[in-house]
Amino acid sequence: MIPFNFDYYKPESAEEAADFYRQLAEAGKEPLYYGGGTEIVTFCRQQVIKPGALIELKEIPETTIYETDGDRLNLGSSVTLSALSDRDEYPLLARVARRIADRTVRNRLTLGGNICGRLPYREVILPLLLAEAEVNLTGPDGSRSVSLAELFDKRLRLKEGEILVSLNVEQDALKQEGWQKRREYHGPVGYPLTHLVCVSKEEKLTLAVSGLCAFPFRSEKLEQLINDKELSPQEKVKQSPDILPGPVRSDEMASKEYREAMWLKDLLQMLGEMEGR
Amino acid sequence: MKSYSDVAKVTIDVNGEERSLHVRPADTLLRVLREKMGLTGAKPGCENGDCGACTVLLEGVPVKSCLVLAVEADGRAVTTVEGLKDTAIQQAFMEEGGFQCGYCTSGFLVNAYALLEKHPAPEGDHDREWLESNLCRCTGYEGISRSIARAREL
Repeated sequence: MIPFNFDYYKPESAEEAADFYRQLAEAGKEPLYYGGGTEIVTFCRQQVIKPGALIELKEIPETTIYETDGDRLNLGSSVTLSALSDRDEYPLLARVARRIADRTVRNRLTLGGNICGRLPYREVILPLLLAEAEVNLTGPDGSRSVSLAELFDKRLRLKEGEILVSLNVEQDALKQEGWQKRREYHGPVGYPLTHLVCVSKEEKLTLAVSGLCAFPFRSEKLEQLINDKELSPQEKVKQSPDILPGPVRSDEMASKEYREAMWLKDLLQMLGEMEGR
Repeated sequence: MKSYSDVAKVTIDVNGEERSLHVRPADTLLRVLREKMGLTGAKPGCENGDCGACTVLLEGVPVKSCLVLAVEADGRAVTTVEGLKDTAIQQAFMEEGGFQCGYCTSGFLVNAYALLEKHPAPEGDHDREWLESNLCRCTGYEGISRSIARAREL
């Protein structure tokens, strides 16, 4: 059970939610936005967090869309990972979503919750980083749209009280089949040791990674390395640990050395299968 | 905007019956079903979203009730294992020995019921994908798989 109390609110629009967030914050209630709730309920039960109020987002209409608008696909932040994995419009995102947690948890996990959560994996962001998605936000100071690449640095850099309303992706990016490999310690249902997603775009490879470091990333230096035509795949793999954007994680699932070894193996496999595509 | 503070009234359609009761916004659906409604079919296992023993249907979708707040279910329909009556999956579990100690059974039944509703015919790896949500510490998975296959024949 959750051994403390909080208030719970169900606003009807993103503007109402953001405005109410500001009021609650000013009143010292330490509000949190609430999507699928899997992470917040767990952390509240463990008393890792103690919010005074939760503001539910998942019934807000603009966060529930999954629709094509001209040449872009709009994905609301409250769309569940099960819904993403069951749809055909964006196969790479569906494949990535299908590997996160298990089916009944994915029935609750939302796109926005996975991206904005406290856990370090946030895997659903990987194909979206490669697709150069655009992010739509609403906060106490109004709404804005910004590129995901601009907003994402280890985590989504939202302003206080800002809501991730939706993301949109160009139709061309939806067709990218890509390459994906996820390794786990506990079998399919478990956090990733490493998760690589690669897409070939205009004869260049783009790569996004989760699990390896304390945050998901897409690295310009790493992409320069893997696209260097002067180097053999083995040489690229050998040089890769030196240019990672952070230290390789070491935890109860895998040591730094084991994770790094898996990374090198998977990167070599990816280069072998993707080069020349 | 609906708001819930202190102890708030919620109305939930549980197994086809409208139930009104007072809950804390911090109460999980699992605890409310068991401790306030007397529906003990959904089991507290890990209470961490891992084991699936607490699986119920929320608007027909299987979810782990330990990860759902009761206030989220206000105005919605919940089906627990008690709400499954004379279904093919229950019959098939009996015929095929789909349980051993039985603690995980209600979660498996509810999830498998939803699986069969959505995928009446076996298709791809859906069965495996769905059943990964539930753990059986007696490792009775073969019997459970046979039960699902049998339920499709009934």
